[in-house]
Amino acid sequence: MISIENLSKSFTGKNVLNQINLTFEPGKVYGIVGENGAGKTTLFRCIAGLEDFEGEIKSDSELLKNVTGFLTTEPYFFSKMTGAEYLQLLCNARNIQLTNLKDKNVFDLPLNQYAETYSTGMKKKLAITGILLQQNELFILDEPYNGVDINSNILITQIIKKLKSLGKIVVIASHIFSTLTESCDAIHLLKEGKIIMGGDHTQFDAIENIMIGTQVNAKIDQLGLV
Amino acid sequence: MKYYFSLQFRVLCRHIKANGINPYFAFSFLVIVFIFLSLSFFKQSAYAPYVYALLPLTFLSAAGGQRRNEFLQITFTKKNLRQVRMVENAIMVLPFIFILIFKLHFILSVALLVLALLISLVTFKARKASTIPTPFYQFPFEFPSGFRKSYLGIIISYALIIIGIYIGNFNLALVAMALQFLIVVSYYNLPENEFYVWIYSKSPKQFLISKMKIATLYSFCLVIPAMILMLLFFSSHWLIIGGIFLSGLLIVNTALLGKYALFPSEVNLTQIICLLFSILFPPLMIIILPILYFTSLKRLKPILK
Repeated sequence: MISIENLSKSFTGKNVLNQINLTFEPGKVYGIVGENGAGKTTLFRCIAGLEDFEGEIKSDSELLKNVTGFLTTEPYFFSKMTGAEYLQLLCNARNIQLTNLKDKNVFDLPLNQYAETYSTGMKKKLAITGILLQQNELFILDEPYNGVDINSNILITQIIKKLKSLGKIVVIASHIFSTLTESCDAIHLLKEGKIIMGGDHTQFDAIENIMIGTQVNAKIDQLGLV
Repeated sequence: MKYYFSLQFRVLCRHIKANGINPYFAFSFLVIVFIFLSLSFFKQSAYAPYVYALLPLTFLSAAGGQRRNEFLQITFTKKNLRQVRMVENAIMVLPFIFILIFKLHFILSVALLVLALLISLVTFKARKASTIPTPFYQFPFEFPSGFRKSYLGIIISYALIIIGIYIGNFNLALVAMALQFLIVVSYYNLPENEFYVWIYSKSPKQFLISKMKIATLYSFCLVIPAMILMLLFFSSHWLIIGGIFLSGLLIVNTALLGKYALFPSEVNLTQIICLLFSILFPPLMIIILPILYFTSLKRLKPILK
């Protein structure tokens, strides 16, 4: 179990995250929604240990980062590094023996090509494959569906369900609410660095209505279109 | 076009300032280092001017990369684009031209300028299908990625060693072997994205030691054929060859530790200074290496915990 207590983060005096309290249980999938700049990525970076913060993150693991797979919004790849080498690097980093790569290439990626030449969706799929091969306990997926084709979208959803059945913790951020309702056990709405609402399936409609009401309709009204 | 260049200069200054270094100090320091290294290079062999004139051409091909050119193409008109590329290439080779003129190699300096201007008309397209094979695939990323970027330099260095052996010029072969270590040093000149450090389930100490092991092993593999050739044909100079080989391995590790000693800063003046002193006076590495090692441990601690 992972417990986030009173997590706050500020950059040059500006509060980006404010008193976040969340609990993630094994075998469950959590969604974090919010508009651009709400603090989703910063929250993920704090959980991953890439940012300092105030507050506390408690977990059953001795060192959470060593069992965390982090899919960043825009995965970065070195130039002149093939997809296969990227996967090898991620496995080496966690002392995992990489075998039967061909079978594990579920997204049918051209692994002998340079990763930098991949399309946006292919890069995402390569990064997802990497964190899956690392056999992590916690999966932080920042916008996993962005730029990915429909078949791969379905496959990603199925993979998330499989991870859940294996008792892993999956935390997903997405701008698109509908992508989360199918796979998430709970969704939390982040606005200006605060969790303003959260809940299970029974609350999903209410959360979506708040998102549409405060973050979409109000903005359209501001345009003053006639 | 004028704005583009002033913007490039401002961005460069911001990068340097972001690392707490005065840009004018950095520029002055680099000029002194460049002049010193260039003049030292000329002393090594009668063929040094030719190798020296070839060096900047490798930077030019990198500047002509496809993605960068695509950005320039959609930003500038065709005429302006050509001018921008020409001015950029001329600026990049200018320091080398000054040195060549100073050393009275007028024809080489003109040839370098003409080649630089011709290269500005060429766009190096990324070939999607072909992947350059590398013997270093088992432990990414520095060597597989660096090898693919520098394989031409490695081929040239081996060619120079063979030429050196053929004409019996020990200095030329030795410079070429040292060049191989400098190529490897270039694999460690920029810090990686923090994600690639974060992924390791290792302590800072374990991380650094594993990186140093890979750097030493792969550098050894890359340069050992050159050393064997040199020992076979210039056996009387075995002590110098062995000394350069060992110093080279230590310099590669200095570059590696220098990178992490200021991680994740990009402009690494510490690394440059340490490398310079290590090259000038290799015994200094006995002091420099432990300092860099312990500083690197400190810098990596927040990410690797």
